Amino acid sequence: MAPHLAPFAFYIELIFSLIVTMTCFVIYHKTKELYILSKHKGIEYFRKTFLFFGIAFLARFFLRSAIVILPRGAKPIFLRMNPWMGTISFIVSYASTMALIYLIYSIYYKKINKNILKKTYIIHAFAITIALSSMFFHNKIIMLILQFLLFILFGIISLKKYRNTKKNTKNLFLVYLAIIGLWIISNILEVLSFFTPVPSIIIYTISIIIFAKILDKVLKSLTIK
Amino acid sequence: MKKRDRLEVIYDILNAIKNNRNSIRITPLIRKSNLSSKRFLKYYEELLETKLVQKIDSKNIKYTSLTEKGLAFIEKYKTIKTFVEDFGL
Repeated sequence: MAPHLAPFAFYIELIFSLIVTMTCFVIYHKTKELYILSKHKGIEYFRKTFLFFGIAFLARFFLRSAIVILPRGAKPIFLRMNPWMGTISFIVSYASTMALIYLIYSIYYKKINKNILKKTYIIHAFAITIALSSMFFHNKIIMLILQFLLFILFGIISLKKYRNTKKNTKNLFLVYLAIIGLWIISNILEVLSFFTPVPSIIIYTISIIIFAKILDKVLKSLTIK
Repeated sequence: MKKRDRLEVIYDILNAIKNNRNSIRITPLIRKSNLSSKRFLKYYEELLETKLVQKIDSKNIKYTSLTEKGLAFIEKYKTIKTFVEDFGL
């Protein structure tokens, strides 16, 4: 089983996932004051994006920890049948879908009908339905298809906004696209990397660089007076 | 003239109060904000709700003044504006 073949690599993967989680929560925390003062919708959605990404990465950290902690032979059955693992799997699906939706909202909320924006329970219900179906059917295909569609949607919106924005914001759209792309790839790899964590480590390394770049940009913006 | 966005309008209203020794009556504030009465009242309600400004009664005359939060908004305005622009929000 994987942990016994490469336990060290699994620990690296866990540490990397915690770094990404921490980065997301720091971004969320550091932007709190700006939101409280301004009540700006864009800042609200931006913060929620990183809050939900943080939750998704943290939940996935626990999910992957089970692979390291659990005794040999019990893992596949345990991961499928254990209600706690099912719940964590649900949180990963729900939080990541919400993060992608809020990322789209953050750059496109001005064009979305205000009544739709107010009815946030609809998108929560939508994400919960997708997460529940992934949990009960032990199949991530539905979630992956949905998140891939959100990726395409974000790409189209970014392309539309790309022409009218400043140069540094243009690069940001590419960074956001990379985040969504990496999340989807890492979900696909999760199935494959049950036997080897190496591809996941590569994805996490790139994710750390991207999230750290966003955190750096956030911190730089906050120092401007 | 370029249409002001929500943040700019709020900043202008708060700044008008601050520049008037942090105490102003509603009519001159409407004039200084360069908004129609209807639009101004919408913003004014929001500012009261978010506790950026407060109403003060002095000798039966109603004034509006900034709260600590309102002063903090003015101080952080440039940061907020830069953040919103930098992240395309």
